[in-house]
Order: sequence, then C-alpha cells, then structure tokens
Amino acid sequence: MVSAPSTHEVTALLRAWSAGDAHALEELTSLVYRDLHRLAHRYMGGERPGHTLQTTALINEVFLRLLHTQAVSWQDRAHFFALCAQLMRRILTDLARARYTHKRGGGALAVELDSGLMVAGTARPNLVALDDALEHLGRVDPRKSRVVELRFFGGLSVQETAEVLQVSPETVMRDWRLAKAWLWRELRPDQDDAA
Amino acid sequence: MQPERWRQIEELYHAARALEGQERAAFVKKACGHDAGLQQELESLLASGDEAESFIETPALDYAAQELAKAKEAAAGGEETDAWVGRAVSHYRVREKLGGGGMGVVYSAEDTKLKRTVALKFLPGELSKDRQALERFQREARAASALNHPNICVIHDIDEHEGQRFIVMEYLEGQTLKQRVAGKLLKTDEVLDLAIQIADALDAAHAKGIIHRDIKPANILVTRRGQAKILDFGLAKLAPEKRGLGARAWGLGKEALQERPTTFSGTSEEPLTSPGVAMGTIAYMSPEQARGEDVDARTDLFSFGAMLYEMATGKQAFNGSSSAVIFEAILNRPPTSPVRLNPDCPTELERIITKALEKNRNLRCQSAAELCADLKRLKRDTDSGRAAVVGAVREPPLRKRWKVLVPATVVLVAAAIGVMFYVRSRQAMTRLTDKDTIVLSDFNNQTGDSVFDDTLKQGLAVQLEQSPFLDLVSERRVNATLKLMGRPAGDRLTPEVTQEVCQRTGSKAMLTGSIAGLGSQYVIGLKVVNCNTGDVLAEAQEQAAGKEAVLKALDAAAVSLRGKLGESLSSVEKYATPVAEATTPSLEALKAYSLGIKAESAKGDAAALPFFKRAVELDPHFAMAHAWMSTAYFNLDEVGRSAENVRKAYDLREKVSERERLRIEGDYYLIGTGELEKGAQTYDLWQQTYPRDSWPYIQLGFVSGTLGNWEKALEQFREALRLDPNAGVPYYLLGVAYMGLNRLEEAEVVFKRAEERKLENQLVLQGRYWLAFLKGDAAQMAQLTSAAMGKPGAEDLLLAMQADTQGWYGRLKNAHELTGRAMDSALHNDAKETAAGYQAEAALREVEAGNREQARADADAALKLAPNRDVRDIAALALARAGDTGGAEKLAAELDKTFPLDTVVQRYWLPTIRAGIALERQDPNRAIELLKMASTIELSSPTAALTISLCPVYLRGEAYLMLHDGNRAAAEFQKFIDHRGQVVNFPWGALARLGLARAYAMQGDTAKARAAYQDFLTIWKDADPDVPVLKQAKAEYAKLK
Repeated sequence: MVSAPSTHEVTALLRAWSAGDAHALEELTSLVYRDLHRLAHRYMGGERPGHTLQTTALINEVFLRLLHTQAVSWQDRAHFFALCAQLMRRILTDLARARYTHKRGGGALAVELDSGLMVAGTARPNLVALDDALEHLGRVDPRKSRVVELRFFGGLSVQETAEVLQVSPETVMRDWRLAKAWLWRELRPDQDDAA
Repeated sequence: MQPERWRQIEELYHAARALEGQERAAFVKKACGHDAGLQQELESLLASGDEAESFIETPALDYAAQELAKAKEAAAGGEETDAWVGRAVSHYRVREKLGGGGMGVVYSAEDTKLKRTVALKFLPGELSKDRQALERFQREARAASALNHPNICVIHDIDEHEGQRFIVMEYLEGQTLKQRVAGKLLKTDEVLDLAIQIADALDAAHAKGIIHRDIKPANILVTRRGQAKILDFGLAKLAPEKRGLGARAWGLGKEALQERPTTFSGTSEEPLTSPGVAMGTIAYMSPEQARGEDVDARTDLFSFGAMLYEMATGKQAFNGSSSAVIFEAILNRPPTSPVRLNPDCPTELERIITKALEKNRNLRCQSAAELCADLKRLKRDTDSGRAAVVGAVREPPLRKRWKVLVPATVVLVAAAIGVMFYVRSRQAMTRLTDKDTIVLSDFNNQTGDSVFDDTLKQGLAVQLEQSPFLDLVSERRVNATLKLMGRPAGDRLTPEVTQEVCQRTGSKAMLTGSIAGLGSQYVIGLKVVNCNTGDVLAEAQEQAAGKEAVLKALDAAAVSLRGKLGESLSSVEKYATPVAEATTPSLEALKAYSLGIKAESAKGDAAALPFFKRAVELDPHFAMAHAWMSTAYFNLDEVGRSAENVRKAYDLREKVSERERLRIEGDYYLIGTGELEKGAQTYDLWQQTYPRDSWPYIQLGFVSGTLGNWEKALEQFREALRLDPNAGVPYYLLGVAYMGLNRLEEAEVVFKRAEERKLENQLVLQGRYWLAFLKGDAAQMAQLTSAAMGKPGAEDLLLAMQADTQGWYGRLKNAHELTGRAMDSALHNDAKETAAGYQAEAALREVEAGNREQARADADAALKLAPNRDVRDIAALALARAGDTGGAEKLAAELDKTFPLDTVVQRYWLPTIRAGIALERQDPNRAIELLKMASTIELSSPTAALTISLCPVYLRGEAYLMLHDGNRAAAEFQKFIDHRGQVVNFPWGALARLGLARAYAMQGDTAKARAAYQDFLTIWKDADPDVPVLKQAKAEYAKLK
C-alpha cells in the first residue's frame, strides 16, 4: 500500500492543481479513488450504507484530518476546504460521466433517478446532471452554488461551510434549502409538471 | 434572471416556507398580486422544496461509492443488477429487471410450466440468512395469500435457487400509491375507492390473525384499472429485528395478535439507530410501534389512517426533518386538520381519519371492518350527492407523467420498500446497532491503587451486560483471539491490543476506560471508539468523591454511555441495577470475583474456585460469586457443594440484575431443587430477553439431555455453540448429544473441532476418550489419559474413565486400583464428592460382577466420604443389588424426603432403587411396575458426569429373566447394544451381553444364545479368572453346548 502523503504534499498538490497542473490532478484523483474504492468495498458484501463509517470521516482521511493536526492559519483552512470540495466535484463528476458514457455507449446523459427508491425527495442524483444544474445555478446565484459544492461534494458541515464563505450558519442553511428546492425542481423525474 | 427578481423570490420563498397549507397558499397569492410568473415560480419551488427534504443530504462521495459498489458487484457476478436477466431460475425465465432496493430486487419472469408472467423478488443475502425469520415470513405470506383476496398481492411461491432465496408473486402493472400521491392530494372519490379496497383486505387478513405491520403508500399498488393491492404481507417480519422478544409468539392466529413488535418498525431501542429505518417508513408507524410495545391489528389501522390522511391532503400526517421529530409527532402531536389542508375533504372523512389516528389504541377505531363500513357509508352518500350535481368525470387512472418516466409502465412491484435500506438517519452512523459487538479493554488505572485493576472492568461489564441492546464480546472469545494473535489468554488488554481484538472479532467498537486520582477525588472516564476508523462514538466522564463512591460513579458513566450509544431510555431504566447492588459494595470482593471469572475462562473451573471462595469470604452476601461457585463445583462433579451455593445465591437474588437473577433462578431449579421443568421455564424467559446469550441454550439442552430427549438437546447445544464457539463445554455437550443419538461420526467431528481450537477442557477430553473407546483405540485412550495427568479436574476424570474400561473387560482388580488412583487425585484437589462418586460407581461395577461384599464396602465408604445426591442415588442402587435391602430402603426414604421435587431423583433413581429391592425380594412383577415410572427418561444421563446409564433397563431385563420371559428380557438387554453411544464403557453394557445370552437360552434359541455368550466371553477374554459372574457364564455356556 502506498503510504499516505503528508499534509504538505497534499496542500502542494492542491495548489498546483488550482494553478492548472494536470499532473497534480492525476495524483489527487488517485488519492480520492483509493478512498472511494475503500468506501465502495464497505457497501459491498451486505454492509448497508451508513452502517460502517461516516463518509465525511473518510474524506477526512486523506485531506482534512491531516490538516487538523497542523497549526494552519484560518485563511489556509478555508482555502483548503474550498479546494477540496472543488476537487471532489471534479473527480466524482468525471467518474460518473465516464461510467454513463461507457454504459450507454456514449449516449444521452439524461437524468436517471431510480424512482422506485424515492421517498420524500430522496433519490440518488445523477452526478453529471447535478453538476450541470449546479453550473446553471451558479449563474443565477453563485453563493448558493458554492454552498452546495462545499456541503455535498466537500462533505463540510454547515459551520465549516459558513467559515469558508464568511457568512453566518443561518445564511448557509437558507441558501442550502433554496438551492435544494431549485436543484430538485431541475432534476426530479416529473419534469412535465414543473414550470 | 434579474438579481432583484431572484432576491424577491428568495425572500418570499423563505417567508412562505414558514407557513403551511391554506395559509401558505393565501400568502403566496397575496404577495404575488397579479404577477402570475412570480407566483408560478414560487409555487413550483415550494412544492419542490417540500419534496427535497433529504435530497443530496448525503455526501457525494457516498453516492459515488454506492454506484461503484453496484458496478463491482455486477462485474463480480454478484446477485445484484442484471446478472439474472435471461437466465433460468428454477422453472422461471427471467425477463427484465423491474426495480430494486434493500428488501430485494424485482424482475419480471415467465413461469415456463404454467406459461404465465410472474414477478420474482430476490431477497438480499442478509435477509435470507435467518432461517427462522424466513420460515415465519413464509408462513405468514402463505397465509395472507391463502385468503385469496382480490386486494392482496398473491404470492405464488417462495423458492431457492443456488442458495438465493426468491419470492414468486403475482405480476402487476401499475404504480404504488406512493407514486400515485407524490405530494398531491387525490380526489375524494378516488380516495374512497382505494381506501375501501384496502380496508376490506385488512379486515380479511386481521380476521385470520395476520398483521401487516408496515402499511404505507409504498406497499400499496394501484393497478391501471384502479384496483388496490397490498404488497408484502409478512415481509415486515424479515427485516432485521431484535430477535427473541416473543420469538415463540411468532406463529399465526391468536398469538400473532398479541406479539411483540417486529422489525424496523419494532422496538424502542432501535428506531434512531437502525440503519434500515427510513423516514418513509417511520412516518406511518403507530405510536405503539414507535414505543416498541406489543403490536396488534390496530397498528395497521393507525398506519392506514396515516396513509388515508396523505391521500386526502397530499401531505404526510407526521412529517419532520429527522426521525426523532417524526417520532415526537407520532407520539404527541395531532396532525393538522385535513379539512384545513384540503377544503374539499368531507368532514366525515376527516372524522374517520382522526379516529384511525387516535394515539391511544383503545380509543382508536377498533377494527378494519368498522373502518370499511364507515368508508362505504361515506361513499354511498357522496356518490348520491354528486350524482345529483355532476356526472362522474374521472381522470384517466394513469397519469401521463408516469408514462413519460417509465416507458414500460410496469411498476417495480414492491421495490419501493427497498428505500428503507438506503435512507438512514444521520445518528445511525455514529451509534451502534444491536447487531454490533463491543470489546472492553482493561482500565487504564492511573491511581496506583491496585484494587481498581480488574474491578472496574468487571463492574462495567456487569452494568453493560444488563443491556439487551449491547453485545460485549465474551471473555472467552477475547482469549481465543489473543491466542490467534500469539498472546497468552488473559493478557493485558491495552488500547492497542484491544483494537486488534476488536478488528479480528469483527466488532464495531471498543470501550476504553480510565480512572485517575484528583486529590481525594477520582475521575472515571469511558470512551467508545470505532475500532476501524478511530472515530469516537461516545464518551462519558464522572467524578467520585472518594473510593466508596467509585462504583456509583462508574454506574453513572456507564448509564450515560448506554444512552449515547443508542439504547432507548426505557431500556436503560429497566435494566440498570447499580453495580454495587448487582455485585458487591466491597471493592476487594469484586476484585476477587473478577479474577475468578478470568481464571474460569482461561484455566478452568478448578483454578477459578479459590477466587470465588475469597470473594464470598469478603462479602458473604455476594450473590453472583455464590452462583459462579455453584457452576464451578457442578462442572467438577461436586453437586452437593454446588447445590449449597446456588441456594445461597437464590436467597440473595433480589438485588442482582435481571440477567443474573434469571441465571440464579434457573440454576437453582436445576441444581438446587432439581425441578427441571421450572428451570426450563426460567431459561426460556432468559432466551427471550437476552437472545444472544448462550447460557440458557446450554442449560435448556442440559435439561433435555437429562430427560433423555437428545434430539432437542442437540438443537439447543448447536445454537449455544453458534453463539459462543470459544467455550469448551458446549462442544462436549453437543458431542454427547450426538452420542446419545448414536451419531458417532458427527460427535467425532464436534470433538475434533474443539481439539482444533485447543479447548482442552476436562469434559472435552472425556468425550474424546469415549469415542476412542467405542472405536477400540486403546492407544488413543492411553494417550488422552496421560495428557490429563497433572491437570486438576482432568486427571481424576480420565483415571476414572480408565477404571470403567477395565471394568468393561472384566479386569476388576485393575479397575479397583484405577478407581483408587482417581479418588486420590480428586481428594488431592479437595474434590471429596467427586471421589465418592467414583467409589459409588465402582460399587455398581462390583455388584453385577458378583462381588457383593466388595460392592457393599465401596458403597458404604462412598456414603461416608461425601453423601451428596448422586452418591446416595448410586450407592442405594448398589446396596439393593448387593442384598442390603434395609440400607437401600433407608437411603431411598431419605432421598425422597430431601429431594421431593427433584425430577431425576423422583423419576429415575427412586423407581430404580426400589425395583432393585423388589428383585432382591424375588418380586419381579413389582419391579416392572415400579420401573414404568422411569420408562420415559431411562435413556438419559442421570448424573452430572459419571458414565452411568440405562440402569432401569438393566433391572427390567433382570426382572423378565426372573419371570422366564426370554422375549421381553432380550428386548431390554438389546437396548444396551442399540445405544452404545450412550452406554459407552459403563461395565453393565458388557454384562448386558450375558443377560441377552440368558434371554435367548430361555427362549430356546440356542444359536443366538451361543453367539451372545461368545460375544460376552470374547469381551471378557482377559478378565480376572476368579470373578463369580465369569465362572457362571462359562458354566452356562458349557451346558448350552
């Protein structure tokens, strides 16, 4: 097993990536994949979701937990969170895109929601469609789009999101609610009922 | 969009969200004025927001991982996804996947025999593992199907293919009620149409005692023609549940109406923690389900009411962002009046709904029939009313959007329930479930005072073990794991070692504790950590004002921890006897006790005794120390001391915890009074309260074995072993049960398993010795005996075994000498009763060989040494057979008086002893009459561990010989040969061959008689030449020629 990279390395990789270094993205992607496969492994073999571990904790495994151990200035921390969330969004969306492309022979990236599994707005979002919708939301209201990015892709708590965006947790919650309503309207199956 | 406009929408959105129903609608209308575009935008966002409650609440990585897991499983040829499509499963050809979820994946398929389309639902692995649950489900599902009700989905079959369980059911096209409603209210006439059908189906099911327990929109299918079908009757029982509570009451009929809650919906301990619980499911639970109480048919009526509410208003009756909020609403809040949410809702319908949603079930509408009648009346009234105004304009039964979405318009029959496994409450992630086990580490004692060393861990274990919710990994299993790790049993469990043990045992978490001094105060800290991720799941800290207050502080910390780990308050309250009361207020005594328990599991009963003795010296009122002492003595054959101690424990039982009280009472009946039936009842209760404990299974099996019911014993021991595969005794018992059934190969496998696990318990050695004897493997017998040399408790037992073997072959001098050595060894270890038992058994051997004097001497000496129950039983029989009828009669009278309720004394020994006396007095008819009493348990093991069996059979054979009834006598003696796994090396078994020979001779069957004589003489070919019975046998055989 590859030993976990140090915080400095991760931070450096993140900075390099945000500066457009494609190689850095590759390395970061492989780090995330490692976690992803570990998590997926938990879901297999009869383990039920949420039963074994906290996903957030797992994301922390490579990134955040390392960060906590160091005295990192507040700005760095916020920046670091933000970068992580962006990275997750990028990697997971790419992965989903690749999978759908593969599955459908490069065909439509239509919304695919498992309607048999829906209860009160619970659904497994198609990450590709969500990414697009989020892009769209960002044009209307950039902060709401970032709230979703930080919370959903970055796995941050409301408090942490508030820290990154330098707003109150209440504002984050308001943004989060409206963003979810907006996104759900875009993504839910019965489009013909929507405005 | 203009930023100002968006801000306006945002403000209005949040303001409107604070309102509900008509108020909200009125607000939106007013705020938007004539701006129709704004109003539409706002309304659609609000509607979407209501639905989006849990949308994207779980991090993206989680979703991605689930997708990946699915893909991996599919690639690995797993049971998931489309692996089945196109395949033949039994006589079904799978066509296409209709949907899937946690409770199973559903496919359409062709029944190639009956040429019809069916739906197949494959149960996920974890659900189909529990065989008992499956059987219950099967029964219930069949019963519901058998009702043949048009509104109940028919289950054709439940089958298995390559280990994969699946349900074959009616293929239906349509959509679930959940999809049908989807946040929009239905028209009143449609509500009534569907409701009447559902109520009628419930009525039919309830009349047969079948409860659904999980009525909710996702479990109702509406076909294209508007027919309602209730899905998955009985399936609720398959979901993970706390086993045991009312496990026996699972049947159908009357019992089912009064049973414990089931499944996800059950048990107050679980709702917040079970990973299987979904909002969608919780929202339709009845208050009694939410509280984890008994469930009856009225629970379905409540759920039905909640569903009716949703159909009539488009809103869930009980809603909330977390399961806790939903529960609170179910238990305490009446839902918003339906008429307020839907002005078109008839007031009579509101009345019906309200009555069904009554929280107190005694005030609730009482039957589905009543409900159905009310609904029908209302329908009649609205029909006639409406008919007068407008013609019936009906919407097409299927909504357009459905078609757009799922082109096949085929509904995933029942798949919607799968949701419960996908959605989870957030708490579930940090808390434990009742499937998880925990490992306790040793306390980190920073006080420098050694009195806390093992004491606090033991105290904590006592406190935590009371909880039916928590499952601590047993000391034995920890020790077995330590061995695998190359560490000695009983090694110190530091956090690092504990973590490895925790991972190796597949446990979820480890509990570490610490105590530190702080001036005159002490601080106790407890922490539960997920041993795979290192996450802290719960923590608790308490201070104690002084040493005396430490146990109390420990209690407080443990109780708070239990709550934090997810156990319900009511359970914590019910099962929380303070440690000091449950055990002892003396820290020193608790320490000795802890060491005793440690020694028992690491080194055996003999090693543990001194510690328990020390504990009761320090605190004579220490009930559990007495109970453990009783067990240790019993395992060492010291039944008298065992009984004495269990009686003491029984007198002190008021203060102990629930589990310990069950143990003390059960053991008291088994050992103290010998009332096997009563003991069994207590253990039954224990089994139901703490279904993961192996002890009640062991004891119930023991009762069955003692009563000669080896089949039943086998079942219980198997389960005990499954629950605790690291204890030696259950292996021995299971092996003995197999032997009792003459299934010797299986017995060998069991003993082999014990051997592989290095469980060198003295009883396991005995079991292996018996098998070696049955195979005639003298080398193995000698080897086992020498392996036991020097081991207290094992040495004497194996020497006694060797004595029996010598007796079997007629070498009585050797046998006598070996018995003497066995006795010396036992006496050396202060096991007087055991020694006396060996001597009494020797008396039985001598008497049938014809050495009456020696037999009398042995019996008298044994009685003098330690006249416990077993010794008196055996000695009395020996004396009767040796001609001392007076002595035998006196002993029998004493036994009768001392053990008036003892099942074995009353039903086995007294009839046998008295039959022996009757035979001595030449009254065989009386003997046969007396022995009738023993006939049902004559194949049992009538002593704690001695190899004595079939005594009543032998005496009956003798009686028939005396009556010159060769036929019947032969039948009796033949039993010794038929049950050789039970008889093993008990010397009467060899002599039974002689009895058989005499019986055949009496019948005039010379050939058979000759063969039987030869058989006996072959066994005794190296016997001591001067044994009287041998001389007789030779003479008889010579005459026969």
